[in-house]
Amino acid sequence: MAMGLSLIFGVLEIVNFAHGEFYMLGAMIAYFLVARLHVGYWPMIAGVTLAVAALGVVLYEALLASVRGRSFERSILLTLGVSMVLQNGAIALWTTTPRMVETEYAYTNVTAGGIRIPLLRVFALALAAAAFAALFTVLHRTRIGKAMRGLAQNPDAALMVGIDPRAVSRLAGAIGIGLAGLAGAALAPIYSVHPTMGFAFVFKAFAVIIVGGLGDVRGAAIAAVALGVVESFVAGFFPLILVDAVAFVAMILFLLFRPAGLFGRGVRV
Amino acid sequence: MTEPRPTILDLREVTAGYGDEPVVVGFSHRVPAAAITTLVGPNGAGKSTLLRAIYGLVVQVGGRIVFEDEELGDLPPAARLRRGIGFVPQGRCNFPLMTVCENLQLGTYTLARAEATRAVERVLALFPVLRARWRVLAGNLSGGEQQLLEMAMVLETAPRLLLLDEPSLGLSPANLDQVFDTIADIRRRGVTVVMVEQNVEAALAISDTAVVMDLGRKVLEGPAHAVMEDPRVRAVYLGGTAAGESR
Repeated sequence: MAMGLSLIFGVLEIVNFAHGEFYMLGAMIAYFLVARLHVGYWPMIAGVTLAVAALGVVLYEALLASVRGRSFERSILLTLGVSMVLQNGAIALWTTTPRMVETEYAYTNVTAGGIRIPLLRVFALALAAAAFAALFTVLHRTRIGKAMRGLAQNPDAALMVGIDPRAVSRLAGAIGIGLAGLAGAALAPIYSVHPTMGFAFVFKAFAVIIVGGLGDVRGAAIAAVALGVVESFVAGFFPLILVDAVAFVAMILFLLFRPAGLFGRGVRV
Repeated sequence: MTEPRPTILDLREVTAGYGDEPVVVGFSHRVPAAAITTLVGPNGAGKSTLLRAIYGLVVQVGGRIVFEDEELGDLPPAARLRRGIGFVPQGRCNFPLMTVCENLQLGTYTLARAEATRAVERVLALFPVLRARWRVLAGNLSGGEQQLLEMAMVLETAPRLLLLDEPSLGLSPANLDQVFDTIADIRRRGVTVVMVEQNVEAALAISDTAVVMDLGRKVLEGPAHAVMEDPRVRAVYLGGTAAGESR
């Protein structure tokens, strides 16, 4: 989730405030596929990811393409607006009643060293790891992936070597938003699905990319894992109410003492 | 003293700029093939804007740009690169967090995969210094090496017309000589070069033709040595020999 946000920020120079809503849409589509169409777990994951990635292309072509490189404020207002439309649209269509996504693995557990872990959580973790590995491979080994990194590092140099910024940005938008959909699909069977579920996530995702360094995919992944570990530690030993504070306390500390993030290269102005 | 060369690039009444105010106004010029043409003039004269218009980076509101007898119209930069026009922008323009190797790979972005490997080998023969710095991040190279890397990245596509925007900007005197030697060498290989340079004396020394621009228009053109000797040019743009050297 944070990886997708970071990719979009790096390549498109847009902070996508609607990212959580695509996570929510992913979870909603997962619900309809499973509850209405009785699709199995793995086809559902694949279908949701592709569907949300397609929505990402639509969003890029319809709105974001015209904003690139212009005003930063405009991109914030635009994606915040998209976020509100999607969230309230979802409320109007499907109401705020939480829904459960019951897949065939709903009651399966695996036992590891005497601890029983729901299989779905194992899958979610594995999917996140696989998504990170795939994204890393694409960005570092393929020509189009290198073009994405190049466009993020220096748009003028990208034009110099003949990269079409629009085509590359469109793909980055599709992958970034598709990753949000994947997160929605993987977590929908674990948590309940409702229209405002993306709201809290997007702020946490922001904390993660600030800690990881804006535009740095590797930093976002490490920060996300670290946050998960620290959150469960806090949940175990401190009052539960502090769990959600962890991400934001970390964000504030990083902004105060290391504003470029874990691996950040500083903010370009 | 030289026989007229064929025209590779024909600028006809070109008007271009960034918004309502055009920076280049009705600029006409024929660029001779296999020669170095240098644009000189004060800041804000529209020299860089003209180069950017030829590469399709700024809005061209009027006139025609004809390259090898074909009008470029509103082709995007990538399409112009495929047609044989390369552009190295002002300042450091590479991928600073990638190695020299990766930068040169991205330089072949518009080429077919089979051609890409040969293109990298070809520019490495031309720029052996880059082979020695193969695994170094581009951002950690010296200014001169970065400028050479950027020219190499564009030369990989074998352009017939190379546009250089202030190649000497921010370079040490030693690097500067290396960069100008390389530009002269590129021309000897038959590539047409159009460059913008503030370092007027060093640039005109290797140029065939010079064009003086002011306020978006052409005010003077001629053989490079003649323009350099022109008293008006010396007074306005070179400011005497001493000031010319301090640039």
